[in-house]
Amino acid sequence: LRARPSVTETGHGAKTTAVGRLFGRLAAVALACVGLAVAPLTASAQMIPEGASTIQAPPGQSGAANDPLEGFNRKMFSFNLFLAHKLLEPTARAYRWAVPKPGRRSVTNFLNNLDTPVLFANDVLQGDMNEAGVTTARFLSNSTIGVGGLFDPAKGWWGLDRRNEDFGQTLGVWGVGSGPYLMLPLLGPSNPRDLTGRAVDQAFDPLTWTGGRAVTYVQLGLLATRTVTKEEAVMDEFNQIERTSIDFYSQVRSIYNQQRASAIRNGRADTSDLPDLAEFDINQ
Amino acid sequence: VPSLRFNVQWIASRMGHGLAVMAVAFVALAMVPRAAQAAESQDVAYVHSLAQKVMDIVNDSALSQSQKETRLGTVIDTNLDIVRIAKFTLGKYRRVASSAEMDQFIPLFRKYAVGLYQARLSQYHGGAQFKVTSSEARANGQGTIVHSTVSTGDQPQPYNLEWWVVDIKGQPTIIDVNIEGVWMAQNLRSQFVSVMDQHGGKVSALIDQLKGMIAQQQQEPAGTPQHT
Repeated sequence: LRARPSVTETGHGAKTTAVGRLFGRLAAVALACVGLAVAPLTASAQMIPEGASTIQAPPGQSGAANDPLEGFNRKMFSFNLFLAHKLLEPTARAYRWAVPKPGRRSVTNFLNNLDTPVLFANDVLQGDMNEAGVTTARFLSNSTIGVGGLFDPAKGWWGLDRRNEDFGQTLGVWGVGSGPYLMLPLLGPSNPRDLTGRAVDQAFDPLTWTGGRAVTYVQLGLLATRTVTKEEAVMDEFNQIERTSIDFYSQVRSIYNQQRASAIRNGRADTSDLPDLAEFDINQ
Repeated sequence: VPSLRFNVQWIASRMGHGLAVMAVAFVALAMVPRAAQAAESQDVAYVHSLAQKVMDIVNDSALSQSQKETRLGTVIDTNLDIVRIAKFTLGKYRRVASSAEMDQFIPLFRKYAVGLYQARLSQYHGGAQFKVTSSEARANGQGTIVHSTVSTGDQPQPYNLEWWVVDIKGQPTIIDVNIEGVWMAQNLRSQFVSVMDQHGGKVSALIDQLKGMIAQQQQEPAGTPQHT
């Protein structure tokens, strides 16, 4: 975050208002994030689960998650689930009903293509120039031959797969730990590292720095579309996992933590941090 | 000069010893990786044949849903070390579980876990393709990780699937499976520990919940068709 002002300071005097606006937005985003991060901390200080057993286990053998705010997180999770089932899912079902599959795929392609600046910035920050090249090539071909990103010839014809990157992952690549698990209202599962990542990714998006009311409406529209398309893609799987879970809250927490760790390793399962075979009663 | 001659002899003999030690060390070093490699390739071959069995069932259009589930159940049951996995998933509560609770828990775990995999696997309707992409032997005899992918016609990206294979008494056995970045045994452990945390550390609370889940699994058909 600190690097950002020095970049904008190179702007000339004529752009003072623009620079001011940049700072204003940055400050707003930062404040929002701090607020989101701090609110649960204070709110749940008294909510640490009481029923928790006093049984101690050797470190790494307990299966315990890093979740000191579990009481608060569980409440937020119920709230999010309620919204997901009552509001989001019906909307996504309507979307699925109204737009046939090829159309939905094009919407997703279009949104993915708009993510290019964020992907590119994180590819570079992770030092993965090869992937930065793939991201650029995908953007150039999909924006032109792919009719403004509606189609994905880069993948279909040249096998250039999209890889999701975000600043939370970049921080992970740099060795920053995730910190405690957080369930954020509306935003869903996160942690301090990934929440910071969200804010920084917002800063990587050129639309954040483009003024005007029209742009704000476009951003809101994109946000809404993203939310609905994502819901449409995951809701069946999600509902099935919910039905078959012993404890859905810790199920989601475990999936989130493990999948983020795997995303940081670009999709490879984390094999460095596996439990010792002794925990399976196997003595080598 | 005798003393010099003696020194030379002494040095030569020391060097001889040294060389012998080095030679032994080299042979040993060369043999260790070879043994590990042999185990690794054996584990890969094992995963291959197991995956082939699963694919044959999943891709067999002549089988009904319930026939598929029965056959998948048998394959899962005979290739995963369910008892060890079950104990692992109790986490810190394993040491407080009474032997009576263990006797109740393990068969319930078997039913629940096998049901989970059955439900997931039986949803794929043919056309699934399996490929081993790589493998790694883990240090200190911690088994082999076999990386693989499964492509189905209706998914844009192949699924990533990892297998943790350990040789138990010379027999390759699966200890955990990772589906799209999530280790299943660890995932279940996190849920089970959480349930017991919330019920004052009672293993019986988990047993009751498992009974409820199994009753529910049996009520509804495992493979709910996916809408597209």
